[in-house]
Amino acid sequence: MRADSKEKTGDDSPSASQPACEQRREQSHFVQFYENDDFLIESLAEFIVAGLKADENAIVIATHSHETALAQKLEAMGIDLVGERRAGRYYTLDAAETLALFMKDGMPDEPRFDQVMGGVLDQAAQGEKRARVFGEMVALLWEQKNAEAAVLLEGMWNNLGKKHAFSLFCAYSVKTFGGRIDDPSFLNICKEHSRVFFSDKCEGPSGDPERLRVLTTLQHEAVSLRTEITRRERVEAELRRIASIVESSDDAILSKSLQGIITTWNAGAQRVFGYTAEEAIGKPVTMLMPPERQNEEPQILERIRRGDRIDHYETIRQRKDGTLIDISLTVSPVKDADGNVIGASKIARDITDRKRAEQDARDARRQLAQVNQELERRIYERTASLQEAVAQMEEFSHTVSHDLRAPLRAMQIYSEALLEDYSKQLPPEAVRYLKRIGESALLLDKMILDVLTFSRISRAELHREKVSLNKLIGNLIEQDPTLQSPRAEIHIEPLIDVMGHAPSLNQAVSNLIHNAVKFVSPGVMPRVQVWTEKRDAEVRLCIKDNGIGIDPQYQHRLFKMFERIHADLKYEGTGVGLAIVAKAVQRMGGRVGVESDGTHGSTFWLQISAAD
Amino acid sequence: MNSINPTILLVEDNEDDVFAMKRALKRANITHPLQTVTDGKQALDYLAGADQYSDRRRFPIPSLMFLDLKLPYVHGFEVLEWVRQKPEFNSIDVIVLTSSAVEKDHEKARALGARSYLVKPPTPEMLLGVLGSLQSLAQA
Repeated sequence: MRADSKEKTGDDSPSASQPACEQRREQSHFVQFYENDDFLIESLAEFIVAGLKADENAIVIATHSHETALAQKLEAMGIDLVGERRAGRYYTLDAAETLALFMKDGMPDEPRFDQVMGGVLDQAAQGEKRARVFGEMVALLWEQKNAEAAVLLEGMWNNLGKKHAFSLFCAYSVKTFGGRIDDPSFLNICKEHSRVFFSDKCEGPSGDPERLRVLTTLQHEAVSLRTEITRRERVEAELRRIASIVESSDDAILSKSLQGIITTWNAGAQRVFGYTAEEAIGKPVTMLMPPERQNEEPQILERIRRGDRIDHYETIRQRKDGTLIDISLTVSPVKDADGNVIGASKIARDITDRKRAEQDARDARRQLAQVNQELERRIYERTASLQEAVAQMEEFSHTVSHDLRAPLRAMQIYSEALLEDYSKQLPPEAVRYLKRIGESALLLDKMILDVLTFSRISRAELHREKVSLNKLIGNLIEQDPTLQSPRAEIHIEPLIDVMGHAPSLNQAVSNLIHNAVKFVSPGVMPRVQVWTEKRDAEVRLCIKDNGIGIDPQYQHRLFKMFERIHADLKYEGTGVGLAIVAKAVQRMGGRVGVESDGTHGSTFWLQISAAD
Repeated sequence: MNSINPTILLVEDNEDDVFAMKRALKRANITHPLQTVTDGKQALDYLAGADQYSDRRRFPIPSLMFLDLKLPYVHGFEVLEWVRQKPEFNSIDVIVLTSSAVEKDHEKARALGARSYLVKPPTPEMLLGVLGSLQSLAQA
């Protein structure tokens, strides 16, 4: 809507014969509201041009942009601004600079205002001419939210009008009125003006000042309503967004009054507590508390009244069906616009599952601890009984080796003494019997020693270490003349180091080598070959003899306790030697075996971990 | 102490073993006087010259002691330990006699100060081999 359109449409109104600008000219102090600058400039240009034509001087106190736009408009309307300025008929002043000349402590100072503006008007009034003033200083104050100063300044203009002949054109952007319908300052501004003009957006006839005033007020209200609606729509959208967040939350979100009455109830609350919103709203929040926790509510309310917030308070609540649930509660005070606490919002999270999981974990840990304790107790008991058994076994071995062997030794000693001292006086038969007694005693003693060795190897703690077979076998042969030339020929290839328990390994290898030289046919020189073969991470030690061999069908019995393959007296043994070998090697994590066709000697082997 | 013909003390409870030792000594032509006690306590009394052994002329401090381990009253190792704690018995060589060739016993005997270790029954060869290396009977 433009001002010029008003002139055309104004024909129907009672005052239509007079254009708006002509009407304004007659007024000493009027206000023009506007919504866009183009309208303002057009309206203002008409005001100025009408004045110039009526031989009135023009004074423009405007912002720089308005002043420039006005100059362009006036020139476009055929006004020779340069000429008018030179003739002293057109003055321009910067609104902000001029305002600063009479402001004092944020308010306009009337004496200074009179001095500054009176001077300007005096100068413009040369030859007793009337002046037309456009002033934007009040608008500047208005924009700075200094409404009081603006109204005061308007009053000063009115006072100045009593001394000077001028008409004053004020302009306010509608946008600067915060959109509030009942804004008292708007009405105050209107009051300070003899006439008010509504803005370009409002259609309607001009004319009767009172009617215009009413219309302008209505227009202001309309603009305010529009602004308010926009603002409310924005708020509403935000509220809807928040409401949907609240509604879709898994947590129970509810609010209550300071009296503890439930005021809102989301879907989460229904899920958590089982009550529908209809059932819950208006009821005391204590209905969610089990009887023994009713005392929590006064405490919570007390803290809320103080404005405190309660964060992640873990407690127990009761569902509609009576079941108890673990919840984590956050309660915040709800305040009105003035900051008074008027209620509380509660967010309750169902932590039953978490609590149950925690409890399960605790139970599991406790059970585990119990099982561990029980296990430790059993291990302790078994260890104790094992230790006892080992101790008993050692005691037994000790007894066997000392006490049981003593009579055997006596048999050896006395049979030998008899033979040495009296053999010449005895028949050959008796000598043979005596020898047999001594040999049997010796054999029984060996068997006892072997059994003791076997049991020692079976229960000894085996610490495995790197063992040099070269050294071990070298020492064995060096210490035993029966393994040396001329009684035997033992050929040893360079041997690979192994991981083993040296004493056990020594026992096993010793037994194998002694067997190798023992089981030869009469008159045959024992020839033994010793070598190693690498087999993956293990080493196989092979001991090959030129003995009588072992029939394959009996080989599986070889490594058992007290098994003897050769009944022949000349191969007499304890029947324990190979069992010791097997036990020792098995305890080192290895295997033993034999290869023989039963006639051409045997190859015994043992296989244990390599050293590297 | 008779340095010309030093005494041998045999600590042995088994009379068969005493017989074997005497026979082996004889066959090895070892003619030193032999004193025999049959339990650990007697051994300590003999060495200390206590009670019945107070006459040092009859019961001289030995140069060599054959010591069985499994003895009544006081174990052979205790006797050995006691002897080795007395500086006045420094000159006595102790040879442990036992029926078992258990490595543990052998090590312990060495650790407690035994000169050597013999597995029963003793033979003339064994005795000559061991005694030949001993200072105590070197003069003989």
